[in-house]
Amino acid sequence: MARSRHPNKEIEAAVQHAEACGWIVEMSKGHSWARLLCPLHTPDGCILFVWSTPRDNENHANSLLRSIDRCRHCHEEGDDEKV
Amino acid sequence: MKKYEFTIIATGLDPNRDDFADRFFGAGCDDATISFQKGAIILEFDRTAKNFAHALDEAIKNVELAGATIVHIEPDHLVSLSDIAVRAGVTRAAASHYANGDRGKDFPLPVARVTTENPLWDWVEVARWLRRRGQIGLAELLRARVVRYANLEISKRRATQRVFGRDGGYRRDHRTAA
Repeated sequence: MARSRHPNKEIEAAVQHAEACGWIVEMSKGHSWARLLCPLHTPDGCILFVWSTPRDNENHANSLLRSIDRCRHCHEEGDDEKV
Repeated sequence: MKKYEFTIIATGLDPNRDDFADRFFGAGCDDATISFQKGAIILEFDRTAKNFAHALDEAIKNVELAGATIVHIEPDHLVSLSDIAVRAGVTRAAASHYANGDRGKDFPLPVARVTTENPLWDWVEVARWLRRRGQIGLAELLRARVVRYANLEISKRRATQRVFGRDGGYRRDHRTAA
């Protein structure tokens, strides 16, 4: 289960936030460090690409956080639990 | 040099191919955070450049160099009253007063979805109106014009490509086109 940590701590924090929201981290090769898959595991789910070495770590981390929080599939899952 | 945030929506590359992200990285999109939603490639740029037009123009070239086809630039130039409120830094109620003519005169007329509860305005016209009242800066107005120009050019080009079938990109949409 253990995955490797992202070398940048801000990006690693964003990845951990995604995991806490139910996203799956799928390690990849090349310039993309990993792909984050949202809780909706169908072709309609969101895929988010995490760079190994983005031009600016902080910008990338913030942008990842915004995209994770904007994903409607996480919120829908939360609503389902209440029903 | 200043940082500009904008989003380019594109299509034509399969996110499940191994080289998907590397193509964008190699083409200079390493200052964009890329996601794939509802069959569309979303590139959220944080680009440093001397001005907005320059930032957008270079980013468009980078995305095309990666082999993707650009569909749209956001923040869109078609805006709702809520969008106007956010962009002008006023409340939703204030934006309604502008549109009703209760506060200020000659607010532009909506240009789309005019018969619905939520009509849309052309942000360039609204920005010009706000600019006259000193509510937004010149840079914001120029930015509005650049985005509208880019989006109109993109849709014109896409329409031509559809008619003449020159869209040589990735056609198989594994997420069934809506």
